Amino acid sequence: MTVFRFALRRAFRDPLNLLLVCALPLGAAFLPSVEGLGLPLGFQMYGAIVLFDAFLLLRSVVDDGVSGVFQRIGAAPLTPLRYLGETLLAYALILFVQNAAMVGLGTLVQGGRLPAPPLLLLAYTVFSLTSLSISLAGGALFRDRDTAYQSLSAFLMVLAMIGGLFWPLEIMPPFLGRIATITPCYWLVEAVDTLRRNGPLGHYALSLAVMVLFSIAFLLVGSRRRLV
Amino acid sequence: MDDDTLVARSLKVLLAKETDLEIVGLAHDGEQALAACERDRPEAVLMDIRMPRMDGIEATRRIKAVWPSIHVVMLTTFHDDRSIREALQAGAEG
Amino acid sequence: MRSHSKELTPAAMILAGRLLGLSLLLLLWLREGRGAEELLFVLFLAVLGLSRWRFERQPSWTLLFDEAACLAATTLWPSAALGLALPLLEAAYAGSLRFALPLLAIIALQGAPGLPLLAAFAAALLLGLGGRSWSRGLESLRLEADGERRERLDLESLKSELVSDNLNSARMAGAAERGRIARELHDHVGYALTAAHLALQAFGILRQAENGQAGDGQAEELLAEAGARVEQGLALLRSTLRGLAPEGEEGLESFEEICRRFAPARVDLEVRGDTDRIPVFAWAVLAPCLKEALSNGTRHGGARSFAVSLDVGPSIVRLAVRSGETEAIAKAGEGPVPAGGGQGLRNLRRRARAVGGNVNVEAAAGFRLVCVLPLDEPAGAPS
Repeated sequence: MTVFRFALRRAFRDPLNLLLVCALPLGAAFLPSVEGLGLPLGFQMYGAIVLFDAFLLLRSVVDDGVSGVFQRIGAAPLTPLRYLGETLLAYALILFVQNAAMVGLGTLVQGGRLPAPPLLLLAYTVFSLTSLSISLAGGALFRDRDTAYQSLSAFLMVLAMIGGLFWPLEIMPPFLGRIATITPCYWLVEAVDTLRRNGPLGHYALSLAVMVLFSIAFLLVGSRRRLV
Repeated sequence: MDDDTLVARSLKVLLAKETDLEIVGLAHDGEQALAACERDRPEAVLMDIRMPRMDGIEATRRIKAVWPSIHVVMLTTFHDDRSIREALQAGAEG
Repeated sequence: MRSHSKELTPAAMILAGRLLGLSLLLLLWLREGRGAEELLFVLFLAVLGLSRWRFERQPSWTLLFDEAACLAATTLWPSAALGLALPLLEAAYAGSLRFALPLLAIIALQGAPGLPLLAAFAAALLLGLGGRSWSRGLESLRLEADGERRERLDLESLKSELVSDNLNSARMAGAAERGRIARELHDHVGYALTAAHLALQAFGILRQAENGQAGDGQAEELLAEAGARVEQGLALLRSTLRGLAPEGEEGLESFEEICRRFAPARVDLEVRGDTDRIPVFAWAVLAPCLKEALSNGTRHGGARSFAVSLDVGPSIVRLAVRSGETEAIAKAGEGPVPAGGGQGLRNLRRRARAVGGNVNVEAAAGFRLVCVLPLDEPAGAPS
């Protein structure tokens, strides 16, 4: 698990990463509730935080693709799949720890306003995997680092907005609301909303299943990298 | 014994200068050489290698077979290792 | 190798077909306002399609999963029958249309399909079959190209061997010829001179013995015969040399002739050193180098004059050809010398390498060719 350990160390080598991935998100647990929103504000927007955290973590993989490290890995006794797998596992672990801390803190700070914390944690974890896959797939499309960063961050912003991570979908026009259903972000909101409403677990499970399939689809796209 | 008459005559004049040598005969091919040895019974023979009818090596072999006491010295301008080896194997003294 | 292929390939075309099919399904899902279960079905088909794109050699029986999913989905969502176009496309592309047979059963269960659905199936089938045919065509072209590349490598290797053998033969022939000359000179000329030498020595002795008195004429006879032998030796030497003299121009003469006869440009030749030290096989490389340089310089560079220098050093011979004033580079559509030189220059490089030398060409500003070949024996070394 050399690549796994290296990915973990690499993630925290950058102090900015440390701040943005660890410290800042946890601050969101302390944000108060807002009238009209079912969840505390921090948890309402937490999906967007996870989405961008995944992007920040996966910048290193984008850099490897652009700088030629990924090509040189081809000469090492290490398959590209193993490299990607261990890296993603490391970042998924970081996000899981962040999610757990967030839910734990939220339970302490927000009390009963957080619905079903374990299921909430599961939803956030699945969405973390989806976010990592989206960033991986997006990074694989570009060969220039700056273009990759700019395009991907813009795309994620639009995805988060349309998906209802920043504001409730009810306030969006109907057709946008319909479009939102084909984004993974919508299904996180749907899952969390089901928990908040004490809705059927089957619907919650379906939402998670949709996010899992999105993760697999984006992983398949992002894992195919040309070595030359 | 030399098939070239000029060389034979020149050698005869050159060797006649030596007081302790007496030229007893001249031959121009191998068969004449054998006849001369039979007739004159020389102590030494100066033999050319390349001669018509019978070459010097064959003549040396036959002389040595019949008269082993006759010393045969090969005289030639040809730098041919094989001929020298054959001549020595035939019994030539040098 | 190129980092990205920007050409359309059969695989890319099939991927486009998959994405189109999935997009249509998604649009249908959006338009009909279906729920999460139907979206799951579309995503499932998308995952299966993407996995076939990602892992190219999947077995065709996995299409049964697609068909099973479509069958299950059509019970909830009739329009999901459009999803059957995707396994049909895959089956046609993989050349395993037998796995598309369940499709017929499913369609039969649904009842007669409408025209749009039939059109979608027909399009999927045609796209799949077309992609397969194209892919097989490309594969056979690739195999053919590989075979030709292998043959060309074999031919080039054979060519190098032939050049090398040719040069060895030239060296051996030269050595054999030298041996023959040495033997002829020794056997005939050497013998005549030896006989004359002996006769002169004998003459000297006889003269001394006569001591000023009239002798029996033997001495004069010996002198005359010695003289005759010397003349005979000289005649033999002349005839041997006449036999050795090559017919036609060789070596430096042929070089000078090439420079003199080159009509399109003026060629100034400068020779330094002892050109007799240049062996025959080296001339066989230098002369073609000169011709190729002159021809390339005028054809590609439009040169009107050349400066040619042939320097024979202690251990190398160096030929340098430099073009002088030139016309415009783009002359008669010839353009600059191709990178690496044309076929002629490549052959010359190969021949020069075979004798341990090299040929360098620069065509940046005018035309410049330098050929350096080693010489076997350094100047002054004892043979």
